Amino acid sequence: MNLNLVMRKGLNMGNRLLMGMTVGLVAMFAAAAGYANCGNCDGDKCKGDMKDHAHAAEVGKPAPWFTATDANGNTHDLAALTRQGKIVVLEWFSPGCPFVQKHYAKGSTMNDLAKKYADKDVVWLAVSSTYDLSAGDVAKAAEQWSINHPVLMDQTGKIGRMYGAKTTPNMFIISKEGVLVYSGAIDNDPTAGAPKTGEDAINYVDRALTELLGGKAVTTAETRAYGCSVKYAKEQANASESKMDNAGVACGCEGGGTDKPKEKDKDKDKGKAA
Amino acid sequence: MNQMLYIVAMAVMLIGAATAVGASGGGESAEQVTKITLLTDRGTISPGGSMRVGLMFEMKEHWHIYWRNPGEAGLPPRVRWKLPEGFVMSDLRWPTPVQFDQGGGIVGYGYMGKVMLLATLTAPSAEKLETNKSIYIAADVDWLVCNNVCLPGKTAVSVEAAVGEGAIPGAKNEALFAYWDKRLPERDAVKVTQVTGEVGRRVTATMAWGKPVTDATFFPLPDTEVMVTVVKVTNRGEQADVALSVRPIGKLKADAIRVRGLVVWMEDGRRRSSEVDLPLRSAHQEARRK
Repeated sequence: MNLNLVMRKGLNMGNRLLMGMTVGLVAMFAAAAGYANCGNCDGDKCKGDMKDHAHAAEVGKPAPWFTATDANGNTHDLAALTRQGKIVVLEWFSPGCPFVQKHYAKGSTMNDLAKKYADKDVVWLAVSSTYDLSAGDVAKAAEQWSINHPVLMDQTGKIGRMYGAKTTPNMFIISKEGVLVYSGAIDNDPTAGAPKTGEDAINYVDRALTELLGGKAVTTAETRAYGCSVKYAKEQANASESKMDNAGVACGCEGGGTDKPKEKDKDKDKGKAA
Repeated sequence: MNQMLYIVAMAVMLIGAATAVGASGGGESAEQVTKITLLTDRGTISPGGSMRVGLMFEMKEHWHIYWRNPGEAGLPPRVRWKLPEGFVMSDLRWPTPVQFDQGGGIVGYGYMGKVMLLATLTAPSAEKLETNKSIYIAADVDWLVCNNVCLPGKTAVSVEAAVGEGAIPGAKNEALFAYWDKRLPERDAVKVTQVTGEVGRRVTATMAWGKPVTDATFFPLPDTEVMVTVVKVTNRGEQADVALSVRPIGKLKADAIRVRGLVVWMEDGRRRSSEVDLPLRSAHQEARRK
C-alpha cells in the first residue's frame, strides 16, 4: 500500500500520508460495513445525482441508494445498477418466517420470478435486516432453498429503515430510471398457506415488472405488505428515527454524509503509534 | 487451545441449531402456545331464536395474536364456520385490542393473555327444525401467534347445543359473555368534530368527549382501499387530535371514502373505545373544488 512510500519519502510528508492511510482505513471499514461508495460525497453534501437518492423511500420518488454486501461477501451498489439501466427488485427476507416459507418452501414464487426476469435486465436482491441472523445463517437458508439471487446483509437495519421495510416479505421495485415504482406485498393473498393460483390471484411484482418492461406505468404502485415483522434490534428504533427525518441516508455514506474521517481521533492514535 | 476450539465448536453448533431454516421458537407449535375453545352463552337455542357464540383464544405468556387490523405486520385469525342447515352466524365482533411495538417501531394491534371473539347464531324457524335435537357448531380456525417468531396455526373446534323451546335458566356462560361484551367497542361514545386533509396527504381528525379523558389513541380498521397509519395523537383534555397518513392502494374508485377506526381512551379508570367514521375526499376532488 502506501506504507512503502511513507518510508522512502521521509517524515515531512508525514501528515499527508497519515491522512491517506486513515482515509484508506476508513474506506476499508466502510467497505466492511457495506458502504464502499463514499465517492458520492463532497464534504457533507452529496455529489451530483446522488443527492436525489439520499432520503427515505417514497413511491414515485427517486429510490434511496445504498451499497451492501451479500451473504457470500459480494458487494452490490444500487446506484451502479441503476446507471447500468437495470430494474431492481428488493425482497425483504427471513427464513424463519412462515410467510417467507410460503414463497420458498410451499411454493417457489421468489425463485421463479427472479429466474423469469433474470435475462430481462431485472436484478433481484433479497435483503436480510434481522439483527441477529448472520451471513452464515442466511447462506445456509439460501442453499437449502436453492436461492440463486443474492441476499444482502443488513443486520444494522439501515437499509430496512431507508425503505420502511416492515414485514418479511416486503417488496420494492426500482425502475431503470432509479424511481421507486412499487412498494408492498408480493401478492394479494395475505396468508401463510401455499401460494394461491387461479383467476383471482394477483402477483403484484410479476404484474409490475411486465408493465415496466412493456414501457407502461405500474397500475398498482402501493399495497399493504403482509408477513412477520422485520426483526430490527430494539435499540435501533429510537436511534435511526431522527436520522431518517434529516435525510440521514446522506449519499449512502456511513456516519452522515461525509467521507472525511473523524480526523482528531484518528490522528491522535496514529501519532502515538509513530 | 483445545478448550478454545471446543468453545468455538459449541458456539457454532448452538448458532446452527437455533437458526435452522424453518426453526420456530424452541420448537413449539402454534397449537401448543394457543388454546382455542368454542363456547355458547347458553345450552339451548330455540327455533327462530339466537344464541351467543364465543371463540376463546388463550395464549401462553409472551405470545400474542392479532386484531382484525394486525397493524404493520402480522395476520388476524380467520374463522370459517361449519353450521347445520339453515343456521346463520353473524360477523365476528372483536374486543378492543392493545397496541404494541413489534420491534423497531413496527406497530401491531392484538391480544395477549386471552381474548374471546363474539358472534350471534340464529336458528331457522320451527318448520325447518327438529326440536329436542343436538346440533354441532363448528369452526376451522387459522391463526398466527407470535413472540419473537411467528407460528401459523390451524385447528378445528366445535361445541354442542340443544334445540328447544325456552332457555334453560342459569345459563352456563353468561358471566363470561358479559365480561367480553364490556370489552367490545361502543358506538357514538365520542364525537368527531372536525376532519381536515385528504387521501394521499396528512389527515387530522378532532375527537370530542364533553368531559376530560386521557390516553386517547386511534386504531384504524382494516380497509381495502387505503392504508392508514397513525402519525400522532395529541390529548387535550376533553378533546384529542388524531393525525393520520392515508395512502391509496392502487387507484381510488370513488371521490370520497370513509376511514373507519376505533378511538380508544381511559375514562374514570376504565378503558373504553368507540368506532368512528372519518369522511375524506380524495386529492383530485379537492383540487377540482379550488
